[in-house]
Formats: sequence, C-alpha cells, structure tokens
Amino acid sequence: MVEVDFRLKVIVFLSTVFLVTRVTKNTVFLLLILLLSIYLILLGFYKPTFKAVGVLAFVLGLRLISKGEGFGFFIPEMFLFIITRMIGVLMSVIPILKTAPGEITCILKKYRIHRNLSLPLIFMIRFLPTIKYEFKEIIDNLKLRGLLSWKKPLLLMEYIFMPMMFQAAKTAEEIAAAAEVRGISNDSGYRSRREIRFGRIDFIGLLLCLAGAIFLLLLEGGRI
Amino acid sequence: MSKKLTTKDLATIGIFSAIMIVVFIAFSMLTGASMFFNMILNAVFVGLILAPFYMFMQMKIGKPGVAFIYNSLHAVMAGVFMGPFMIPWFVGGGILAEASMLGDKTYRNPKRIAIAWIITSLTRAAHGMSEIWFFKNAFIKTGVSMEQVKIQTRYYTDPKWILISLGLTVLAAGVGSYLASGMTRKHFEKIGSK
Repeated sequence: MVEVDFRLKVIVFLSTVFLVTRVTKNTVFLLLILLLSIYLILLGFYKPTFKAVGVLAFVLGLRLISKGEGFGFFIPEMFLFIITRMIGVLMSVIPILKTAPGEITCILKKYRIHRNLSLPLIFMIRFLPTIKYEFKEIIDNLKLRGLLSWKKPLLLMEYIFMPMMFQAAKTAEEIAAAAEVRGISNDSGYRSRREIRFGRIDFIGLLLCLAGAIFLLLLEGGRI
Repeated sequence: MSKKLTTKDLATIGIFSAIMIVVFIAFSMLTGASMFFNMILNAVFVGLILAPFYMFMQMKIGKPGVAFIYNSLHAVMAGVFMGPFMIPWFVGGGILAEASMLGDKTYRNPKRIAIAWIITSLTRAAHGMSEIWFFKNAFIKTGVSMEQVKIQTRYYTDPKWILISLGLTVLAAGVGSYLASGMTRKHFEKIGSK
C-alpha cells in the first residue's frame, strides 16, 4: 500500500473533475476509470474500487441496453450519462475523504487558511462518510417501531430529522472536545504526528497524473 | 457571551453542512432523472427539506458568521464541481444572507433566520440561471453538452419560468423555516438547547 501526500490527492481529484468535464469519448472515459482504479488500489482502497466499478458497469449496461436512448422520462440518457461521470469524480474523492483529519488540519494551517473556514471544512470531511450510517440507524429504528410511513410526510420528516440533529449536535460537541484536547485552538503553531512533506513518491505521482491527463486529452482530441 | 466562533460552533457548522450536502445529493439523485425538475423545482424542495437543519444550526450557535461560512463552504464545493466562476456567486449570497442577520439579538430570531435561509435558497435556485446570464462562456468551457446549455437557456431566459422557480423557492424556504421553527420550539426549548 502506498501513502501519498494530501496535496497529491487534491491534484488527482481536480484533474479528474477537469477530465470528466472534457472527455466525451467512451473509450477515453473508460481509460480514465482504469487509471483511477489503479490509483485507488495502490492506495489500498480495494472495496470502494470494486463497488464503483460494479455500479459503473451496471449503468453502462443500462446505456447499452437502451442503445443510448435512455428509458423514457424516468431514466433519460442524460441522467445515466451524468451518473457515469459522477462515479469518476467520486472515485477520485475517496482518498481525500479517508485522509486523517490531523493531516488536513496541518496542511490547511500551513497554507494559512482562516480557522473559520478550515475547521468546518475539516469537520465536514470527517463526518461525511458516517452520515449514511446515521440515517440508516434512524430509519431502521423507525421501521422497528412501525413509524416509517409516507402517509404523513411532514411527520416522517420530523421523525427522521430530529434524531439526526440531536446526534449531530452531540457529535459536534464530542469532536470539538477531542480537537481542543489535541490543541486545535493553540495559536503557537500546529504540529502533526505525520510528516507533511511532498516526497519523492508524490512527485512521481504528480508526473504520472499530468502524463495521464495529457495522454487522455490527446486521445480525446484524436491526436494519438 | 463572546461573539467569536468557538471550535464547537465550527464543528456544528461543519457537521450540519455535511448532513445538508448529503441530503441535497440524495434528493438530487432521486429526482435528477428529470431535467425540468432539476432546473425549476430542485431548489424549491431543497429549501423546504433543509430548513430544519439550517434553523437548528443557527439557533444552536446564535453568533455572527454562520450564514456566511455555510455559503462559503457551498462556494468551495461549487467551485470544485461546477467551476471556479461559481465561487463569487455563492460568496455573494453568503454576504447577503449574513447581512440580513445584522443587529442586536437577531442571531436566534426565527424570522431573521428564515430571511437568511430564503436568501441562501435563492442563491442556490438562481445559480443555474447565473451560469446562463453572467458566466455563459465559462460554463460552456466546463465541457457541458450543448443540449443542456440550450435547455437551460430556454428556461432561464423565460421570465415566466424564472418567476415560478424563484417564487416557489421563496415560498418553500419560508414554509420550511416556519415548520423548522415549530420543530425547534417543540423539541429544544424546554430542555434549554435553544
């Protein structure tokens, strides 16, 4: 498993967003997905890679079956197209979401990003992957109590949202307390246990990322 | 009480923003199949659904800066996913929303929070329009299909659809805030979380 710097992960993510909006040919897009899969596997994200590729194969299958026409009003071709593109972006964002908050904090401090923007951003990134499970737990509880019914949508909204808000407020307090203990409010320079350095592997990664992006753009433009 | 945002306040903003983003994405995925719904009604329903989270976040923190930071986080996300040209749009919306909260003892006033939420929702509702009105060239350069640009231009240059979309957004965000205010009172006032 390879460990790379947070900045390289951001560069890969931005390059992917750029490519996803530029690439129109299916072959080039699939090559991009292949490169992203290799990147994720090298970083040790096996399960998310297989999941993303599986979903992509399913959506591409739907596009093939519908012969690029979509399935009427409910699943138009444009929707399937957007989903395929979003999968590419999501694949590139996984390593960012899985980065240790301490590492992100350190980098944002290094670039002197104001704490009023950097801290919410860090807490947001930290909390994003767990939200699905929080909602699932609430919905399972409602199911068990027989309260999950669409007959009264506003009441259902209240049943789902209120526990979520209680939980989120509690989590905010716990995370903030933990961050304070670790000295997040300490103005005398923040240090991370991890070494924040754009090392040799990161430079190689950067070169490969640039080479891959240029290659795909040349392929898209029909110059190769 | 100090008006400076503490780590706990910033954690609350971050976590609630994350929830709102996830709910927004899930809702957009469910309804995204219809281009018309996405363009005209998405922000309307989002204004209604997310109002409780926004109201609670503002009530809980009750200090200046929440509206601006929430919109700035949106600006960062929009800048990354839609293009950097969208950043000033959302930051501008954030400044307006924050300005609407100015005053003494206004940061826990449901009416003021509702106004800030309506401005935030309008910023979201009109961002697609802004792509056509102000940033069309930059928008086309992001690689979006010409078919989409054509449809967006058709709807977003027609005063009827613009009025319907923005009018319904104001209404939905207002109703959402009213319901959220009731919910917050019902669940939090007695225990002193408000």
